[in-house]
Amino acid sequence: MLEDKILIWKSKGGDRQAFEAIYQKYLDHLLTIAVHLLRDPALAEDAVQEVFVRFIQSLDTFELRGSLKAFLSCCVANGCRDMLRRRQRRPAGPLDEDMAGPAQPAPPAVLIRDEQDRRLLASLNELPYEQREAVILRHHGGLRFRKIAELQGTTTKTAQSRYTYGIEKLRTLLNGEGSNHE
Amino acid sequence: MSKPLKNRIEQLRVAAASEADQRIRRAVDRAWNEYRHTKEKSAPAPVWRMIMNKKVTVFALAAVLVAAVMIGVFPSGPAQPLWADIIKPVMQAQNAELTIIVGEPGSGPEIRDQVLGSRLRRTVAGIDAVSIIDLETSKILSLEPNTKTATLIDMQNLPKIPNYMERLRNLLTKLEAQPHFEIEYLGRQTLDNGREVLAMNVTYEGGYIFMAIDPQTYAPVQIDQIEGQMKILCRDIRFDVEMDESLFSMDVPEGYTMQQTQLDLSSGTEANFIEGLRLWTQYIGDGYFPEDVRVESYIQAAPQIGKRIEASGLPQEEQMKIGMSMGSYLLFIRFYRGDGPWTYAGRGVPFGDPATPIFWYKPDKAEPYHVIYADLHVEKVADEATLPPAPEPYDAVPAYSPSRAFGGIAADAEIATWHIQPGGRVEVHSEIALTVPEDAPAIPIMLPYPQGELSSVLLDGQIVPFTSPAEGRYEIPVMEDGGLKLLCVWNLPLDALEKNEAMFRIELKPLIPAARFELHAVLEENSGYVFTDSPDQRQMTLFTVEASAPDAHFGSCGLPISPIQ
Repeated sequence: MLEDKILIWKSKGGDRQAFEAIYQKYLDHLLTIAVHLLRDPALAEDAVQEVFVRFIQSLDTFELRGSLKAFLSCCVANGCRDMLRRRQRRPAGPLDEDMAGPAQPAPPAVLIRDEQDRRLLASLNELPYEQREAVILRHHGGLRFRKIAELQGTTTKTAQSRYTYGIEKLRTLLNGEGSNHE
Repeated sequence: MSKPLKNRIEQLRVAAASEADQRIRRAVDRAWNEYRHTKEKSAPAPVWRMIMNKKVTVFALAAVLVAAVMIGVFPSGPAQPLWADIIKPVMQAQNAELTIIVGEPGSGPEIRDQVLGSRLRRTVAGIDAVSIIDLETSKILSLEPNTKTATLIDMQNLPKIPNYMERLRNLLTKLEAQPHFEIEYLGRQTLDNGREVLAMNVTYEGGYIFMAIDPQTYAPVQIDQIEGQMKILCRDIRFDVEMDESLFSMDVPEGYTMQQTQLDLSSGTEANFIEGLRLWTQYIGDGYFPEDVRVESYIQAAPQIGKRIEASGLPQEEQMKIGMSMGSYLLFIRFYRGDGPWTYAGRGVPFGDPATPIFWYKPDKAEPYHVIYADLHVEKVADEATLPPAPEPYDAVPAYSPSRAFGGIAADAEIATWHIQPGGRVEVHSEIALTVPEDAPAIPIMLPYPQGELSSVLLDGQIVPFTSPAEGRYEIPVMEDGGLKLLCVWNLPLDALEKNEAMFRIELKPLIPAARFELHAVLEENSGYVFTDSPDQRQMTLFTVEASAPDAHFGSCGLPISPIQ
């Protein structure tokens, strides 16, 4: 596969196939982040769709300064946050429980291979949003803590702590020693 | 975190269901169509011109010329003139003007060519010189009006292409004979400069071209090409414009000093490549190999490279020789003929380790792999399975960045304070402010003296470990990218400095190439020294500089101290 930079360059020149290559390369990856963050496959699809649409709209002025994967991961995480904010302004719905409530059932779109996956997913869903975001962006987005901190509007140390607490809580939950609530 | 848990998290993936894919794809298609039709115009700022703030060195000019002359020299192939309507204006044109950009617009030097028969009159933005290239006699005459210097480069073994127009024709006509040749017509489009054109994508094996042609004459006005790893943009193309033939004269104007050199364009051998790597580590990369070895990266960095060579203090003749050697090094990559792609892994690697492979390729189907190591010895490896893993593709830095070009990370500023201690010892505190790129594995630093020794490093106030891959070189592992403050404490004996009757001489070398550099001296109690002209003073500022780009060497300055009698 051609490098991302060349794909972007070609896309800027109007090459639809080049953009298609970017789309196919990152679609599943972005959906994974969005589903984990939003825990709602339909909303996750909306978030990812918005990222791709905005990416196309900004292609003319877009300059790749780092990894495209990290850039798109940040975009999708921002999109998820916006969606949650918009949802919170509406009358109560299932997602209002997201920020602090109990775990939702596992989203059907996540590939579950065995019981361990199911337990891990359930445990991930129990993490407070910002801890879950730090863990997911670190491991699925490949983002450094500085980037996660920027995204969360906090310091690098706080982002790092959120990640560490998230991982510790996951361990506790998976070992069956912790409570089900934060 | 334990690896199994990390792996488990990473394996919790989602595969887009086909309905989801279709739904997203419909929105993406709509956005794409809108993008194609309402593309906004935006002309990038010519960053390149800002980089060039100093007169060009003879080396830089040679480097740019040698590299640039290879642009458009395509391997010969069958020329069957098809897609005749499009190439007809090119086939019939007598002369042309065009701007060539290597790399992304705004990031590389703009080369402006006027083409008349077999001669090109070439200027490079920001470089105060003009070059006449005669492809028939294979000579370049370069004129620098500032220094009244004329340089005649005799190119040997230049591929036989009668003139530049022929190159363009060759490119256009040979394309159709390439495997997987395809044209996708994109219809009417508006270019960044507002010009209405007919656009098309041309793909062929190993390359891609975006071409814009005039809707009336079908003459190409823009040709953006990617071939292999090289990207060449030809913009603002005009055919059959009025030209003054005297501008293409190869005669040396009166009052110019003449110098001559030669370049063998067939000399792109492995040995030339290795020699180029050696010169890079010695004169350009502060002991490190280049970030990447693509021709376009070199062309983008050429003027900065020229400044580095100039700082070496070598005579101009030597500088020119290095320029020519670097030209041969580029030829190896530009006309690479190996079996399969080459792999470069020298990014961030210092010269010297015989166990670190930096480049490997297969010269021929029948031959084993050749692996070049960081001490530049070559080993032949028959078994592909024993080759090192290929590094991540290098694609993260579209624009030229001095820190990238010089193999390390650049600092915003370094303040070095030399504490002169009793017993003829010096303890230097180098406070460095820098921004670490996202993908940097470590911060490489180099002490300016081999007798120096790094004793401790503090990163944002915390002591951090460091390693020493080679004498005088250290690496500090990067825990986080972004803006950092580094304090490096290092020692050296005072007698490591060169001395004359009046003072010691200090090399003005920051530990990491820096744009701002300050040097202060402090006489500690009982140091046994006083400042020669100010015996009552305990400290003194010796040097400050604020450069337009990070540099690794600002010359030298005096440390005016004398022993207390």
